[in-house]
Amino acid sequence: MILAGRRLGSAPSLNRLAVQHCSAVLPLHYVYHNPLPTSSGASRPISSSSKLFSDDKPFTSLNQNTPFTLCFLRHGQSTWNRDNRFIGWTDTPLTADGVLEARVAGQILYKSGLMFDEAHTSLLRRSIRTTNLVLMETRQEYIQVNKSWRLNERHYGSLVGQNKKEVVEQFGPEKVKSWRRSWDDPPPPMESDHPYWPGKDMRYRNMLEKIPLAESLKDTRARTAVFWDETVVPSLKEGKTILIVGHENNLRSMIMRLENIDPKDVINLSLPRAVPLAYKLDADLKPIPRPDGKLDEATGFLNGVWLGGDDAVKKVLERDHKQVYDTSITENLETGGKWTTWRNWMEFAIGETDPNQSANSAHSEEDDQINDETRGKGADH
Amino acid sequence: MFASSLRTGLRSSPFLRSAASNFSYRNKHTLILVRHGESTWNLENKFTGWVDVPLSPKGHDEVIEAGKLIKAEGLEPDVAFTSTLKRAIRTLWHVLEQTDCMWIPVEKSWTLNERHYGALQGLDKQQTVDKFGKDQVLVWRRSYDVPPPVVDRSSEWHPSNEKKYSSVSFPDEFTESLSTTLDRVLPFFNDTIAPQLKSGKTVIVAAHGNSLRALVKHLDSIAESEIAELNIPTGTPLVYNLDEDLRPIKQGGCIEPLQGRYLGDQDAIRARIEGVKNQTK
Repeated sequence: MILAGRRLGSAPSLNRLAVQHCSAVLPLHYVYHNPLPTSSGASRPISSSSKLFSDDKPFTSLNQNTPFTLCFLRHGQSTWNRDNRFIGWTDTPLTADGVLEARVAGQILYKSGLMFDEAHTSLLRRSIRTTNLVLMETRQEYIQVNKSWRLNERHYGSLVGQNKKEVVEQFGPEKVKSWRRSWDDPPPPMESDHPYWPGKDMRYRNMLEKIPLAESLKDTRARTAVFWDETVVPSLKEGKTILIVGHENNLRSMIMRLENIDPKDVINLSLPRAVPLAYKLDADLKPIPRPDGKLDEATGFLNGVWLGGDDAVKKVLERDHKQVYDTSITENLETGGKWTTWRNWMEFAIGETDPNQSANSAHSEEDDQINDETRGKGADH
Repeated sequence: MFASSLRTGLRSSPFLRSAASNFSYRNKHTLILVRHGESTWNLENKFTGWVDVPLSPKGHDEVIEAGKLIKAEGLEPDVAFTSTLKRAIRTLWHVLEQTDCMWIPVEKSWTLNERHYGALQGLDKQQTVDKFGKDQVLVWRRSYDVPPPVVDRSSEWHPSNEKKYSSVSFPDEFTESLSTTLDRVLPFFNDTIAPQLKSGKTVIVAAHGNSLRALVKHLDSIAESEIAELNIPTGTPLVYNLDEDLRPIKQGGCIEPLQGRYLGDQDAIRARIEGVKNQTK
C-alpha cells in the first residue's frame, strides 16, 4: 500500500479513501470482479468539518512570468458610451464593439503572460462583463472575482443620462471639464425622483444611505481609498497579483493616490477604455519607474505600463476628448469611419471580427487549448 | 396570482419587493441548482471529469434558456456558487446575465467540480467500452464507490499539474468515485452554502452531474444504489424550497426521487432523463 507523499488528514473517511486507492491500483481484472455495491439505504453521516485535502499550502502566486503585480482596466464600450451620455451608476450593458474591446484587452493580457490571482470589479454589468470576457481570453475563468460598490463609477449627479456634447453647448467646455475631471467640483446633485436614481435598484437596498447624490473626484477617492486599504493592500502584501476592472473616474481616483498626482494636475488625466495598465510595485506598494525612467507618453502622469503601447492610447484619448468637447464635430466618433484605426488594432489582436458577432454570445469561436506554452512568457519590461 | 402580476413592478421598489418575498416565500429557503450545458466533449462522447472543456454552441443556448426560465419564475438569486471549471462558470455567467443578477457575489470552489475520472479522462466512451467491456465501464460510471483507475503525478490530468489547484494537496495517485465526490462536496455545502441559505438568501449553484448528484442525495436522502443512476439533465434549473433545517419542502410537479422541481417543459425533461441512460448501451 503506497501512501508516500500523501498528507493525511484527520477525518476517518480518509482511511476509506486509502482503501479505494488500493483497490484502484490493483490489476484491472481484480477490479473487474468486484460486484456492484448493494443498497444500504441510509446516508453515511458526513462530518461537516472533514477536509479530505489540505488547502493550507503556503501561497504562491500564479503570476510567475511577469514582474507586474497590479493591473487596472477600464471596461469596454457600453451603450451610453456609444451614445456619448453621462452614465455614473446607471447599469448600461456592453455593445458589440464593447465586447470586442474587452476581448482585445484579454488577448493583450494573455499574450503578455500576466496571470492574476484574483480580480476586483464594481457592481455594474459593463465592468463585470468586461471582467468575464477578459478572464475567458486569459483562460483564467477560475479565479475569484470580488464585486464592490466602492469600485462603481463616480456618481454624476443630475448630469446622468444627458448627452455630453449638449451639456458642453449648454454650460461651456471649461465648466464641463471641471465637472468631469477636476478634483473637487461635483456636478449638481441628483434628486431621488430622477429616472436613474440608484435607490430603485435591488443591489443597493442595504446601503440606501450610502448612495451619493453626486460626487467629485475627491468624494470618489474617499470611498476607493477604503477599498484600497481594506482589500487591495492585504492582497498585494500576501503576494497576489490582482486585476482591477473599473470605470474611468473611479480608476483615476485610485491611480491618483498610487502615483501621488497633485489635485490641481489630475484634471488633465484621462483613461482609455479597455487598455490594460500594468504596475510593478516595490515593498511599500509604490510604483517602480518604467525602464526608461520616464512617465508614459499618453498621459504624462504614469509609471505604469500600457500593455498595447503608448501610441494607441494617445490616439484613443484624443478621440475621446474630441467626442465630448469639439462642438464643431457633429458625427459620433464612437462609431463610423474614424474608428478604423482602433478596429484595425482589434483585428490585429484577435483576427477578423465576425460582422454577425452577437453581444449576447460570450464564447470565443476557436476554443481553447489547455496549453500554457501558448501563453506569452512575459513582457520585456 | 398576486405576486406574479406585480412582479415587474416589484423589482423597481426594494420595499415592495421584500414585502412580496415575505408573502410568497416566508419560512422557505430557495436553492436553485443548474447543471452546466452541453460541453464540446459531451458532443465527442469523451470522459471529461476535471478536463476544462468549454460549452458547445448548443450548451450556451441551453443555459441562456435556463436563465430565462429562472427569471420567468420570479426567482432572484442573492449569492452564487460554482466550480473552477469553465463550463460551469460560463453557465453561471449566462444565468446571472439573464436574471439581471450579474452583480451578486460568486464563489468558485474546486469542491464543486465534476467527479474526477482518473485515467479514463480524455478517452472516448465507446472505445473504452470496446476495450474493457460494457460491464466494467458501467461499474466505473455508475457504481457508487468503485472509482476508475488512478492517474499519478506524471499524468497531465493529475491536479498537481494544473496551476489553478496549486494551493491544494492531492494524493500522488488520484481518482474519484461518486462516494468520494460527495465527501468533498458536502463539507463545502455545510460550511459555506448552508449558512447562506439559513440566513434567507436565495442561492444558485451552477455545477456538474456528479457534484449535483452529491447535493441532491444529501437533500433528498437518496440511497447509494439509486443515486448513481439518477440523471440530472443539463441546463435545466432544479429549484428546492427548503425549511429552516434545510430539508426540502415537497412541491407539486417533482420527479421522483427528487423533492425539487425542474423548470421548463416537463415532458421534454422526463424524456431527457430517460435518454441519458442510453449513452453506453
